[in-house]
Amino acid sequence: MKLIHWFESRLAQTPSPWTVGEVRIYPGYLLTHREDAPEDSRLRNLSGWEAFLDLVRFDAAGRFRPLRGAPGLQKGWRRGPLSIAELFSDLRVLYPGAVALLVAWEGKRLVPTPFPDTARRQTGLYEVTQRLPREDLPALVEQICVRGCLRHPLWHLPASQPDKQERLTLLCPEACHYFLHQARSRAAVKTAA
Amino acid sequence: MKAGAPSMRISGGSALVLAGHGSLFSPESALPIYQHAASLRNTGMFAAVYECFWKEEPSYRNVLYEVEEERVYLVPDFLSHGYFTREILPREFGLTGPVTRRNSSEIRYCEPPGRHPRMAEAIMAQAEKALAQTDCRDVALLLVGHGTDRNENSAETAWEQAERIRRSGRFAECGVAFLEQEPSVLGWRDLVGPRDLVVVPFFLSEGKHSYTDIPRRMGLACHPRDPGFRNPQTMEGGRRVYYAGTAGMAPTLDQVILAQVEAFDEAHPLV
Repeated sequence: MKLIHWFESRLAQTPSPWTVGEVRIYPGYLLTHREDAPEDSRLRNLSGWEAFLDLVRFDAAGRFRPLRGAPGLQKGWRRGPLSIAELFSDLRVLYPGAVALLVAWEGKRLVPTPFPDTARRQTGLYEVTQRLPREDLPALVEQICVRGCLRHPLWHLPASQPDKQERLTLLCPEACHYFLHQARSRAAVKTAA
Repeated sequence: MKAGAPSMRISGGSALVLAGHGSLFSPESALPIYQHAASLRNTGMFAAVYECFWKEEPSYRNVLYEVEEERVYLVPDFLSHGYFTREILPREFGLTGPVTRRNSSEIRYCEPPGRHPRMAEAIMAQAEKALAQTDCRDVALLLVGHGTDRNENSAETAWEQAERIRRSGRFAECGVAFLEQEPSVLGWRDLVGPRDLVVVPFFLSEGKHSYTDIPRRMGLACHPRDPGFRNPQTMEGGRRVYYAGTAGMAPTLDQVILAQVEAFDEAHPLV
Protein backbone atom coordinates (compact mmCIF):
# COMPACT_ATOMS: atom_id res chain seq x y z
CA MET A 1 0.00 0.00 0.00
CA LYS A 2 1.28 3.46 -0.86
CA LEU A 3 2.24 5.56 2.14
CA ILE A 4 -0.36 8.20 1.33
CA HIS A 5 -3.10 5.58 1.17
CA TRP A 6 -1.94 4.08 4.46
CA PHE A 7 -2.08 7.54 6.02
CA GLU A 8 -5.54 8.28 4.65
CA SER A 9 -6.75 4.93 5.88
CA ARG A 10 -5.24 5.52 9.34
CA LEU A 11 -7.09 8.83 9.57
CA ALA A 12 -10.33 7.17 8.52
CA GLN A 13 -9.94 4.50 11.21
CA THR A 14 -9.31 6.86 14.10
CA PRO A 15 -11.42 9.62 15.65
CA SER A 16 -10.77 13.20 14.61
CA PRO A 17 -9.21 15.60 15.23
CA TRP A 18 -5.88 13.88 14.79
CA THR A 19 -2.75 15.00 16.62
CA VAL A 20 0.73 14.56 15.21
CA GLY A 21 3.52 16.09 17.25
CA GLU A 22 2.58 19.74 17.76
CA VAL A 23 -0.03 19.94 15.03
CA ARG A 24 -3.66 18.97 14.88
CA ILE A 25 -5.48 17.84 11.77
CA TYR A 26 -9.21 18.51 11.43
CA PRO A 27 -11.53 16.85 8.93
CA GLY A 28 -11.46 18.63 5.69
CA TYR A 29 -8.42 18.74 6.04
CA LEU A 30 -7.41 21.74 8.17
CA LEU A 31 -4.03 21.90 9.83
CA THR A 32 -3.17 24.10 12.82
CA HIS A 33 -0.90 24.16 15.82
CA ARG A 34 -2.50 21.82 18.34
CA GLU A 35 -3.01 24.68 20.79
CA ASP A 36 -4.91 26.78 18.25
CA ALA A 37 -8.57 26.43 17.32
CA PRO A 38 -9.17 26.27 13.57
CA GLU A 39 -12.17 28.60 13.79
CA ASP A 40 -10.10 31.32 15.45
CA SER A 41 -10.32 34.27 13.05
CA ARG A 42 -7.00 35.60 14.27
CA LEU A 43 -5.14 32.69 12.68
CA ARG A 44 -3.35 33.68 9.51
CA ASN A 45 -3.95 31.51 6.48
CA LEU A 46 -0.67 30.12 5.35
CA SER A 47 -0.35 29.27 1.69
CA GLY A 48 2.62 28.34 -0.44
CA TRP A 49 5.43 25.94 0.35
CA GLU A 50 8.03 28.61 1.11
CA ALA A 51 5.93 30.26 3.81
CA PHE A 52 5.19 26.88 5.35
CA LEU A 53 8.85 25.84 5.23
CA ASP A 54 9.81 29.09 6.96
CA LEU A 55 7.18 28.49 9.63
CA VAL A 56 8.56 25.04 10.30
CA ARG A 57 12.24 26.00 10.21
CA PHE A 58 12.09 29.04 12.50
CA ASP A 59 10.58 29.56 15.92
CA ALA A 60 8.47 32.56 16.94
CA ALA A 61 11.63 34.52 17.80
CA GLY A 62 13.08 33.84 14.36
CA ARG A 63 15.63 31.29 15.59
CA PHE A 64 16.52 28.38 13.33
CA ARG A 65 15.02 25.02 14.35
CA PRO A 66 17.40 22.37 13.00
CA LEU A 67 15.51 19.66 14.89
CA ARG A 68 11.98 19.39 13.54
CA GLY A 69 10.89 17.12 16.38
CA ALA A 70 11.83 19.69 19.00
CA PRO A 71 8.88 21.46 20.62
CA GLY A 72 8.64 25.10 19.59
CA LEU A 73 6.58 25.13 16.42
CA GLN A 74 5.07 28.57 15.89
CA LYS A 75 1.39 29.12 16.65
CA GLY A 76 -1.20 31.37 15.03
CA TRP A 77 -1.56 29.85 11.55
CA ARG A 78 -3.88 27.63 9.61
CA ARG A 79 -3.46 25.53 6.47
CA GLY A 80 -6.34 24.27 4.44
CA PRO A 81 -8.64 22.98 3.35
CA LEU A 82 -6.04 20.56 2.04
CA SER A 83 -6.26 17.51 -0.16
CA ILE A 84 -4.85 14.33 1.32
CA ALA A 85 -1.82 14.75 -0.95
CA GLU A 86 -1.24 18.29 0.32
CA LEU A 87 -1.68 17.21 3.92
CA PHE A 88 0.74 14.32 3.41
CA SER A 89 3.23 16.70 1.85
CA ASP A 90 2.87 19.16 4.74
CA LEU A 91 3.57 16.40 7.24
CA ARG A 92 6.74 15.53 5.33
CA VAL A 93 7.87 19.10 5.87
CA LEU A 94 6.80 19.21 9.52
CA TYR A 95 8.13 15.84 10.58
CA PRO A 96 10.26 14.39 7.77
CA GLY A 97 9.80 10.68 7.31
CA ALA A 98 7.25 10.39 10.12
CA VAL A 99 4.63 8.39 8.24
CA ALA A 100 7.16 6.23 6.41
CA LEU A 101 8.98 5.36 9.65
CA LEU A 102 5.71 4.52 11.41
CA VAL A 103 4.61 2.27 8.55
CA ALA A 104 8.00 0.53 8.57
CA TRP A 105 7.83 0.14 12.37
CA GLU A 106 4.36 -1.34 12.32
CA GLY A 107 5.45 -3.61 9.50
CA LYS A 108 8.47 -4.70 11.56
CA ARG A 109 10.84 -3.39 8.86
CA LEU A 110 12.33 -0.54 10.88
CA VAL A 111 15.60 -1.56 12.48
CA PRO A 112 16.83 0.95 15.07
CA THR A 113 20.58 1.62 15.05
CA PRO A 114 22.24 1.40 18.48
CA PHE A 115 24.28 4.46 19.42
CA PRO A 116 27.68 2.70 19.33
CA ASP A 117 27.03 1.77 15.68
CA THR A 118 26.14 5.38 14.83
CA ALA A 119 29.19 6.69 16.70
CA ARG A 120 31.47 4.26 14.85
CA ARG A 121 30.45 5.82 11.53
CA GLN A 122 31.54 9.29 12.63
CA THR A 123 34.81 10.76 11.46
CA GLY A 124 36.62 14.06 11.86
CA LEU A 125 35.21 16.32 14.55
CA TYR A 126 32.54 13.77 15.44
CA GLU A 127 34.87 10.80 15.90
CA VAL A 128 35.10 11.74 19.57
CA THR A 129 31.51 10.55 20.05
CA GLN A 130 32.93 7.03 20.02
CA ARG A 131 34.51 7.85 23.38
CA LEU A 132 31.31 9.04 25.02
CA PRO A 133 31.13 7.06 28.28
CA ARG A 134 28.24 4.59 28.20
CA GLU A 135 27.02 5.85 31.54
CA ASP A 136 26.59 9.37 30.07
CA LEU A 137 24.21 8.23 27.35
CA PRO A 138 20.98 7.96 29.42
CA ALA A 139 21.34 11.50 30.75
CA LEU A 140 21.93 12.87 27.26
CA VAL A 141 18.95 10.97 25.88
CA GLU A 142 16.82 12.31 28.71
CA GLN A 143 17.92 15.88 28.07
CA ILE A 144 17.89 15.94 24.26
CA CYS A 145 15.46 13.24 23.19
CA VAL A 146 12.93 12.80 25.99
CA ARG A 147 12.60 16.42 27.10
CA GLY A 148 13.81 18.11 23.91
CA CYS A 149 12.17 16.16 21.11
CA LEU A 150 8.76 14.71 20.33
CA ARG A 151 10.13 11.69 18.52
CA HIS A 152 10.52 8.44 20.43
CA PRO A 153 14.21 7.38 20.40
CA LEU A 154 13.82 3.76 19.42
CA TRP A 155 17.60 3.43 19.21
CA HIS A 156 17.90 3.85 22.97
CA LEU A 157 14.54 3.25 24.58
CA PRO A 158 12.92 0.02 23.49
CA ALA A 159 9.26 0.41 22.66
CA SER A 160 6.51 -2.03 22.09
CA GLN A 161 4.77 -1.86 18.75
CA PRO A 162 2.63 1.28 18.83
CA ASP A 163 -1.06 0.94 19.35
CA LYS A 164 -2.27 0.90 15.79
CA GLN A 165 -5.63 2.40 16.59
CA GLU A 166 -4.60 5.29 18.75
CA ARG A 167 -1.77 7.49 17.71
CA LEU A 168 0.41 8.75 14.94
CA THR A 169 3.60 8.32 16.91
CA LEU A 170 6.76 10.14 15.86
CA LEU A 171 9.68 7.74 15.79
CA CYS A 172 13.44 8.12 15.70
CA PRO A 173 15.40 5.02 14.62
CA GLU A 174 18.89 6.51 14.95
CA ALA A 175 20.65 9.27 16.87
CA CYS A 176 20.44 12.41 14.74
CA HIS A 177 23.18 14.94 14.11
CA TYR A 178 21.74 17.29 16.69
CA PHE A 179 22.23 14.56 19.28
CA LEU A 180 25.70 13.75 17.94
CA HIS A 181 26.65 17.40 18.22
CA GLN A 182 25.66 17.47 21.90
CA ALA A 183 27.32 14.09 22.49
CA ARG A 184 30.49 15.39 20.90
CA SER A 185 30.63 18.32 23.28
CA ARG A 186 30.06 16.05 26.26
CA ALA A 187 32.66 13.52 25.08
CA ALA A 188 35.19 16.24 24.36
CA VAL A 189 34.84 17.62 27.89
CA LYS A 190 35.25 14.14 29.36
CA THR A 191 38.29 13.43 27.19
CA ALA A 192 39.93 16.71 28.17
CA ALA A 193 39.28 16.00 31.86
CA MET B 1 9.76 23.57 -18.18
CA LYS B 2 12.19 26.47 -18.45
CA ALA B 3 13.64 27.54 -21.75
CA GLY B 4 16.84 25.69 -22.49
CA ALA B 5 15.86 22.73 -20.36
CA PRO B 6 17.40 19.40 -21.28
CA SER B 7 15.18 17.46 -23.68
CA MET B 8 15.23 14.36 -21.58
CA ARG B 9 13.02 11.36 -21.34
CA ILE B 10 12.89 10.00 -17.85
CA SER B 11 10.94 6.80 -17.66
CA GLY B 12 7.69 7.24 -15.80
CA GLY B 13 7.62 6.45 -12.14
CA SER B 14 11.18 7.48 -11.32
CA ALA B 15 12.07 9.32 -8.16
CA LEU B 16 14.68 12.00 -7.71
CA VAL B 17 16.50 12.20 -4.39
CA LEU B 18 18.53 15.35 -3.79
CA ALA B 19 21.12 14.80 -1.09
CA GLY B 20 22.43 17.99 0.48
CA HIS B 21 24.62 18.78 3.44
CA GLY B 22 22.42 21.02 5.60
CA SER B 23 23.51 22.58 8.86
CA LEU B 24 22.61 22.67 12.53
CA PHE B 25 23.38 26.38 12.64
CA SER B 26 22.83 28.01 9.26
CA PRO B 27 19.31 27.84 7.82
CA GLU B 28 20.64 28.98 4.46
CA SER B 29 22.67 25.84 3.93
CA ALA B 30 19.68 23.69 3.00
CA LEU B 31 17.77 26.41 1.17
CA PRO B 32 19.04 25.72 -2.37
CA ILE B 33 18.20 22.03 -2.00
CA TYR B 34 14.61 22.91 -1.06
CA GLN B 35 14.42 25.32 -3.99
CA HIS B 36 15.84 22.84 -6.48
CA ALA B 37 13.47 20.15 -5.24
CA ALA B 38 10.43 22.43 -5.48
CA SER B 39 11.34 23.52 -8.96
CA LEU B 40 11.94 19.97 -10.14
CA ARG B 41 8.65 18.81 -8.63
CA ASN B 42 6.93 21.42 -10.75
CA THR B 43 8.40 19.99 -13.94
CA GLY B 44 6.40 16.81 -13.39
CA MET B 45 9.28 14.81 -14.82
CA PHE B 46 9.62 12.66 -11.71
CA ALA B 47 6.97 10.70 -9.87
CA ALA B 48 8.36 12.19 -6.66
CA VAL B 49 11.21 14.42 -5.55
CA TYR B 50 12.75 14.01 -2.10
CA GLU B 51 15.25 16.12 -0.18
CA CYS B 52 17.59 14.64 2.41
CA PHE B 53 20.51 15.96 4.41
CA TRP B 54 23.58 14.97 6.38
CA LYS B 55 22.94 17.46 9.16
CA GLU B 56 19.18 17.98 8.97
CA GLU B 57 16.05 15.90 8.53
CA PRO B 58 15.36 13.60 6.85
CA SER B 59 18.70 11.87 7.04
CA TYR B 60 20.23 10.01 4.12
CA ARG B 61 19.29 6.72 5.77
CA ASN B 62 15.75 7.59 6.72
CA VAL B 63 14.75 9.04 3.37
CA LEU B 64 14.83 5.61 1.79
CA TYR B 65 11.86 4.60 3.94
CA GLU B 66 9.91 7.33 2.16
CA VAL B 67 10.93 6.48 -1.39
CA GLU B 68 8.33 4.23 -3.00
CA GLU B 69 9.50 4.36 -6.59
CA GLU B 70 11.58 1.50 -7.99
CA ARG B 71 13.98 3.66 -9.99
CA VAL B 72 15.75 6.35 -8.02
CA TYR B 73 18.07 9.03 -9.33
CA LEU B 74 20.28 10.05 -6.45
CA VAL B 75 21.92 13.42 -7.09
CA PRO B 76 24.40 14.80 -4.57
CA ASP B 77 23.43 18.47 -4.47
CA PHE B 78 27.04 19.56 -4.12
CA LEU B 79 29.30 21.57 -6.39
CA SER B 80 32.12 19.05 -6.50
CA HIS B 81 33.11 15.57 -5.52
CA GLY B 82 34.67 15.13 -2.13
CA TYR B 83 34.39 13.22 1.09
CA PHE B 84 30.59 13.36 1.15
CA THR B 85 30.00 12.28 -2.42
CA ARG B 86 32.77 9.66 -2.47
CA GLU B 87 32.43 8.15 0.99
CA ILE B 88 29.44 9.28 3.05
CA LEU B 89 26.68 9.03 0.47
CA PRO B 90 27.74 5.64 -0.94
CA ARG B 91 27.99 4.28 2.59
CA GLU B 92 24.69 5.70 3.87
CA PHE B 93 22.73 4.64 0.80
CA GLY B 94 24.49 1.27 0.55
CA LEU B 95 25.68 1.97 -2.98
CA THR B 96 27.71 -0.65 -4.82
CA GLY B 97 28.54 1.41 -7.90
CA PRO B 98 26.95 3.89 -10.30
CA VAL B 99 23.88 1.63 -10.45
CA THR B 100 22.88 -0.22 -7.29
CA ARG B 101 20.21 -2.87 -7.69
CA ARG B 102 18.38 -4.12 -4.64
CA ASN B 103 15.47 -6.50 -5.05
CA SER B 104 13.28 -4.82 -7.66
CA SER B 105 14.63 -1.32 -7.17
CA GLU B 106 17.69 0.49 -8.41
CA ILE B 107 19.55 3.60 -7.35
CA ARG B 108 21.27 5.56 -10.11
CA TYR B 109 24.00 7.65 -8.53
CA CYS B 110 24.52 10.78 -10.59
CA GLU B 111 27.34 13.31 -10.61
CA PRO B 112 27.05 16.52 -8.57
CA PRO B 113 25.60 19.41 -10.59
CA GLY B 114 28.70 21.53 -10.05
CA ARG B 115 30.67 19.28 -12.38
CA HIS B 116 28.36 19.54 -15.38
CA PRO B 117 29.40 21.76 -18.32
CA ARG B 118 26.13 23.66 -17.92
CA MET B 119 27.30 24.81 -14.49
CA ALA B 120 29.49 27.33 -16.29
CA GLU B 121 26.30 28.89 -17.66
CA ALA B 122 24.85 29.12 -14.17
CA ILE B 123 28.01 30.83 -12.87
CA MET B 124 27.95 33.34 -15.74
CA ALA B 125 24.25 33.99 -15.14
CA GLN B 126 25.00 34.92 -11.54
CA ALA B 127 27.79 37.21 -12.70
CA GLU B 128 25.60 38.88 -15.32
CA LYS B 129 22.84 39.42 -12.77
CA ALA B 130 25.28 41.31 -10.52
CA LEU B 131 26.59 43.30 -13.47
CA ALA B 132 23.09 44.29 -14.59
CA GLN B 133 23.59 46.56 -17.62
CA THR B 134 27.40 46.48 -17.59
CA ASP B 135 29.00 44.85 -20.62
CA CYS B 136 30.62 41.69 -19.30
CA ARG B 137 33.15 41.58 -22.15
CA ASP B 138 35.06 44.33 -20.37
CA VAL B 139 34.92 42.63 -16.98
CA ALA B 140 37.03 39.90 -15.35
CA LEU B 141 35.20 37.11 -13.55
CA LEU B 142 36.78 35.74 -10.38
CA LEU B 143 35.44 32.39 -9.21
CA VAL B 144 36.15 31.92 -5.50
CA GLY B 145 35.85 28.43 -4.05
CA HIS B 146 36.54 26.94 -0.65
CA GLY B 147 39.35 24.59 -1.56
CA THR B 148 41.10 22.28 0.82
CA ASP B 149 44.53 20.72 0.85
CA ARG B 150 42.88 17.43 1.83
CA ASN B 151 40.94 16.98 -1.39
CA GLU B 152 41.89 18.09 -4.88
CA ASN B 153 38.42 17.61 -6.37
CA SER B 154 36.98 20.79 -4.91
CA ALA B 155 39.57 22.99 -6.62
CA GLU B 156 39.68 20.92 -9.80
CA THR B 157 35.98 21.51 -10.44
CA ALA B 158 36.41 25.28 -10.05
CA TRP B 159 39.32 25.24 -12.49
CA GLU B 160 37.29 23.20 -14.99
CA GLN B 161 34.39 25.62 -14.85
CA ALA B 162 36.73 28.62 -15.15
CA GLU B 163 38.21 27.12 -18.30
CA ARG B 164 34.73 26.75 -19.79
CA ILE B 165 33.98 30.37 -18.95
CA ARG B 166 37.21 31.47 -20.61
CA ARG B 167 36.38 29.48 -23.72
CA SER B 168 32.93 31.06 -23.90
CA GLY B 169 34.58 34.45 -24.50
CA ARG B 170 31.79 36.23 -22.67
CA PHE B 171 34.08 37.79 -20.08
CA ALA B 172 37.39 39.56 -20.54
CA GLU B 173 39.05 36.87 -18.45
CA CYS B 174 38.32 34.40 -15.69
CA GLY B 175 40.43 33.74 -12.62
CA VAL B 176 40.14 31.29 -9.75
CA ALA B 177 40.88 31.81 -6.05
CA PHE B 178 40.22 29.90 -2.85
CA LEU B 179 39.66 30.49 0.82
CA GLU B 180 41.67 27.56 2.12
CA GLN B 181 44.28 26.83 -0.52
CA GLU B 182 46.42 28.54 -3.11
CA PRO B 183 45.89 30.69 -5.02
CA SER B 184 44.41 32.51 -2.04
CA VAL B 185 41.69 35.08 -2.48
CA LEU B 186 43.91 37.39 -0.40
CA GLY B 187 46.03 37.83 -3.53
CA TRP B 188 43.11 38.44 -5.90
CA ARG B 189 44.74 41.50 -7.49
CA ASP B 190 47.47 39.26 -8.90
CA LEU B 191 45.03 36.72 -10.31
CA VAL B 192 43.20 38.95 -12.79
CA GLY B 193 44.14 42.00 -14.83
CA PRO B 194 43.56 45.54 -13.52
CA ARG B 195 40.04 45.92 -14.85
CA ASP B 196 36.52 45.85 -13.44
CA LEU B 197 35.74 42.61 -11.68
CA VAL B 198 32.77 40.43 -10.85
CA VAL B 199 33.19 37.92 -8.02
CA VAL B 200 31.14 34.70 -7.99
CA PRO B 201 31.46 32.56 -4.85
CA PHE B 202 31.70 28.91 -5.96
CA PHE B 203 29.48 27.65 -3.16
CA LEU B 204 26.12 25.93 -3.23
CA SER B 205 24.44 28.14 -0.65
CA GLU B 206 24.88 31.59 0.76
CA GLY B 207 26.44 31.75 4.21
CA LYS B 208 29.39 32.97 6.21
CA HIS B 209 31.88 32.20 3.44
CA SER B 210 30.01 34.21 0.82
CA TYR B 211 28.70 36.98 3.07
CA THR B 212 31.77 37.60 5.19
CA ASP B 213 34.91 35.56 4.54
CA ILE B 214 35.41 36.33 0.84
CA PRO B 215 34.52 40.07 0.99
CA ARG B 216 36.68 40.55 4.08
CA ARG B 217 39.70 38.85 2.55
CA MET B 218 39.26 40.87 -0.61
CA GLY B 219 39.18 44.06 1.41
CA LEU B 220 35.71 45.07 0.28
CA ALA B 221 34.35 47.88 2.42
CA CYS B 222 30.77 46.69 2.18
CA HIS B 223 29.67 43.08 2.62
CA PRO B 224 26.55 41.57 1.01
CA ARG B 225 24.63 41.51 4.29
CA ASP B 226 25.46 45.12 5.16
CA PRO B 227 22.40 47.41 4.97
CA GLY B 228 24.00 49.74 2.43
CA PHE B 229 25.38 47.05 0.17
CA ARG B 230 25.00 47.61 -3.55
CA ASN B 231 26.92 46.78 -6.70
CA PRO B 232 29.46 47.92 -7.71
CA GLN B 233 31.97 48.97 -5.06
CA THR B 234 34.73 51.24 -6.23
CA MET B 235 38.23 50.39 -5.13
CA GLU B 236 41.69 51.82 -5.77
CA GLY B 237 42.17 53.48 -9.15
CA GLY B 238 38.44 53.63 -9.72
CA ARG B 239 38.26 49.87 -10.25
CA ARG B 240 34.71 48.61 -9.82
CA VAL B 241 34.03 45.30 -8.06
CA TYR B 242 30.67 43.57 -8.43
CA TYR B 243 29.75 40.85 -5.96
CA ALA B 244 27.38 38.12 -7.18
CA GLY B 245 25.22 35.50 -5.47
CA THR B 246 26.71 32.05 -5.02
CA ALA B 247 26.85 29.73 -8.01
CA GLY B 248 24.50 27.26 -6.36
CA MET B 249 21.75 29.86 -6.02
CA ALA B 250 21.58 30.40 -9.77
CA PRO B 251 17.96 30.03 -10.92
CA THR B 252 18.99 27.53 -13.58
CA LEU B 253 20.61 25.07 -11.21
CA ASP B 254 17.57 22.81 -11.35
CA GLN B 255 18.25 22.47 -15.07
CA VAL B 256 21.86 21.56 -14.34
CA ILE B 257 20.60 18.81 -12.05
CA LEU B 258 18.34 17.53 -14.82
CA ALA B 259 21.28 17.63 -17.19
CA GLN B 260 23.26 15.43 -14.77
CA VAL B 261 20.40 12.93 -14.68
CA GLU B 262 20.34 12.93 -18.47
CA ALA B 263 24.11 12.50 -18.61
CA PHE B 264 23.82 9.57 -16.24
CA ASP B 265 21.27 7.84 -18.47
CA GLU B 266 23.52 8.36 -21.48
CA ALA B 267 26.44 6.77 -19.66
CA HIS B 268 24.33 4.02 -18.10
CA PRO B 269 21.40 3.33 -20.44
CA LEU B 270 18.22 2.10 -18.87
CA VAL B 271 17.80 -1.64 -19.23
